[in-house]
Amino acid sequence: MLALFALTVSVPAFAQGANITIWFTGDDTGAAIMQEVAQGWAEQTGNTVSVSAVSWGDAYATALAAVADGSGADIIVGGMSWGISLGQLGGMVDLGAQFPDQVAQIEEQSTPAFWDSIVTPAGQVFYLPYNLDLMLMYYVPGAFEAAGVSVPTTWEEMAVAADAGLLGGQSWGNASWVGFQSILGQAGASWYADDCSAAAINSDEGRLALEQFAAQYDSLGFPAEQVPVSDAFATGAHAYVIDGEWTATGINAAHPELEGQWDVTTLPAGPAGFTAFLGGKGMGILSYSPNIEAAMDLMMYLSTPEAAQMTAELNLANANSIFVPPQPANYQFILGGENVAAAIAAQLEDVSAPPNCPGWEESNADVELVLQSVLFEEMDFQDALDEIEAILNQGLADFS
Amino acid sequence: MCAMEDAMSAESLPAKIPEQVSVARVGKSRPAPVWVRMWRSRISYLMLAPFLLPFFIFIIFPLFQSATVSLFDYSAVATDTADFVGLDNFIHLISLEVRELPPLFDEASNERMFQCGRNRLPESEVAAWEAEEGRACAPAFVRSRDVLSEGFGEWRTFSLFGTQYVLGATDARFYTALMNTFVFAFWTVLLRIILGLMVALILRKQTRANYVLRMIFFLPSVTASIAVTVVWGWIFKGQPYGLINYLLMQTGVVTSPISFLNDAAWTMPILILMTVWGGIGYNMILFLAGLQNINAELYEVAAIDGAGPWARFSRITFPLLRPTMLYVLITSIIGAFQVFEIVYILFAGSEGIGGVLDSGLTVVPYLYDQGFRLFNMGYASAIAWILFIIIFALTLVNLRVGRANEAY
Repeated sequence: MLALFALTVSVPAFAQGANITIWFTGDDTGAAIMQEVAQGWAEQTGNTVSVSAVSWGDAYATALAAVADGSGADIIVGGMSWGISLGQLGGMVDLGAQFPDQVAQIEEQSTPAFWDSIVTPAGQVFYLPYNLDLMLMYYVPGAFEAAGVSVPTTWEEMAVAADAGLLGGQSWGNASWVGFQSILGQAGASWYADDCSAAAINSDEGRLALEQFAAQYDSLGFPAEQVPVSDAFATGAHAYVIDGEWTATGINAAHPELEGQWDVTTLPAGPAGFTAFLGGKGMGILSYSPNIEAAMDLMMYLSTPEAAQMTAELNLANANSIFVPPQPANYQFILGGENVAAAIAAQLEDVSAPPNCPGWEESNADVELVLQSVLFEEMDFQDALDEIEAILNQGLADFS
Repeated sequence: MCAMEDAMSAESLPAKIPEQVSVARVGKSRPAPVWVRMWRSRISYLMLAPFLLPFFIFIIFPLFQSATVSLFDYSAVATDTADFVGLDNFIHLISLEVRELPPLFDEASNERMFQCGRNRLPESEVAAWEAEEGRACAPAFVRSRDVLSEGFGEWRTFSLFGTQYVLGATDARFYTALMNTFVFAFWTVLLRIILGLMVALILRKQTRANYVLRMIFFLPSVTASIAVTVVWGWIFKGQPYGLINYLLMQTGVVTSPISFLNDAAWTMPILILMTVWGGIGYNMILFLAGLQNINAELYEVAAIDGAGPWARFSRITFPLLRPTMLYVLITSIIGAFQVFEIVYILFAGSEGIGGVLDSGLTVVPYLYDQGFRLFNMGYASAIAWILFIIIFALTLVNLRVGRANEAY
């Protein structure tokens, strides 16, 4: 009886011999790494997997065309907001409805901030987490030592560094809502109420965030333009730069003379914390796929610790890049140097992903214009908060 | 010249007479039905098929499909939920309204309010602020959002006869994109034509040095635009190591780098510069071809008559180049209104698809953003049709003006 039970559990609930096609958003190396990892699943189940790379610029439109046409890949691995936007248009399988047990298991293991961002307010789950990207602060310790000031761990210390002539900069999220969201979290504010019933940014905390955002570009020396970390450090133009974790492995490659000259840590804290923007990739099944069961099984496999470890190792070895698994239990597999792994792990304690509220995708370009008006046209803070609140509430009304 | 034309007309006259008679005779008989004429010409149609089929499949069908889609709220993914919205997409795109912005007064003191940097101050505090900051405050007005109708957002504010107004639009970003496109088209077309013609005139003589120089000027036209744009991005990088900034700082012109690509004041001039640089050579080749067709004897005769260089240019070269000019003008306008890749490559980073404050946003990137980021295919199609109508109207005007000025 027990043997019979074991047999029914171990036999996959889908026919063998399926060929699962994955569109991996990124470069060929990333696709090859996923192909190698997925091979383990293919051998276990007797299916085949073929992974092809689609560039960031084309992937979203490619998925759109595939869904409209009803043919293409079974799984797409791409931007974290795509699951909801494609899913609500009927282009993705609602995994939460079709595989409630597996989805509950993944939810339990996942980084909460990321999970909250990929689930719709109505509880639909079109995506499972694949990897995380997060902001970190890169800095040149020697510059701070020479100036006799400490590496900024708070907003106040950023001001002290600026007074000492040590200027900051931002690469990922520069002058945009992405960069502002980190500060929003540091100030203790958020775009929307937790239940997405209304915009929540028009608050004292929201104003504080806006003031700090403006101060970065006014008095803290952040230039209007994105600052590439390695070039900024090599030229000595900036003492610290905020950028994604992927930059860590590229600095020494671009400028070997910088080896040992830089370090990385968490973002400077505001009154509510040292929040960093959290992005990453998710993976979901396109609605027309004839292999939904097998595709789900493969995604479950890709979420295992073994797959996470293998992906992390292959990324570092083949692409000189850092893979951050989306499960806290798998953070142990983060590679790229002790200091980098430690900074990533520390920063993951306080991260904030894009909101999942209706209308956000449609509203964020207008929100960004208001933020840029604050930075570059001296828009009144309260006017800006009122304007952003109106934009977000209009989005909620139009798309709820 | 006129005598020569008359002579030519006289020579060709006898040949035309029988043809006119023949046409008149046919006109009197009853024409065969269309299907009969088509059947008689079936071999011709069959031979035209290799062109006609792709033409209908890839040009005519998408054109009508796009026109149809522009009348729907259509996402391309959720095809079953496409709602017919009639002209709503077009109305939402082009709706404008003008409202007066009343001056702002302090509720408590009833003092006139001024905008001083990010601070809104009563008139009594303005002088102190201006003295401290060393810059001027501006009169504050009621917020645009408070006077505009629901659904309208501020596009521009302007002052007329001492009164402040706001120009509101239901899609302010579209108008920003449209205005940017017009500015971009005006300057790029004008400069490319003037400079292209100048270079063509300078390099007109068939010498080895001119062949080399022509090739050098034409090189940007055959270089991959994406690669060129990336290089321009480096040239204008807003860091001390950006090429222009490096030169400016080394020569002491500036002390800190200029953020060329993230400064709304610089964005459009840089886009224009890049496009003009890349397009001079192409126009030069077209003008050179046009110049080769001008009979050299005309210049000799004019020189004998005592015509100077300017007279020869304005009376011979320019008028006889008019067909070439018209072609260059129309194709340049079409190209300018369709600009996409340089905007996309330079600005589609984290600061938004049109750069800071949408200062580099043009119509086609905006169309792309609506269609392929937000899935508003119906709306994107409506934008495409408005763009088509604008280009079509400009082309018609150019053709009409070109023909009206035909003197030779």
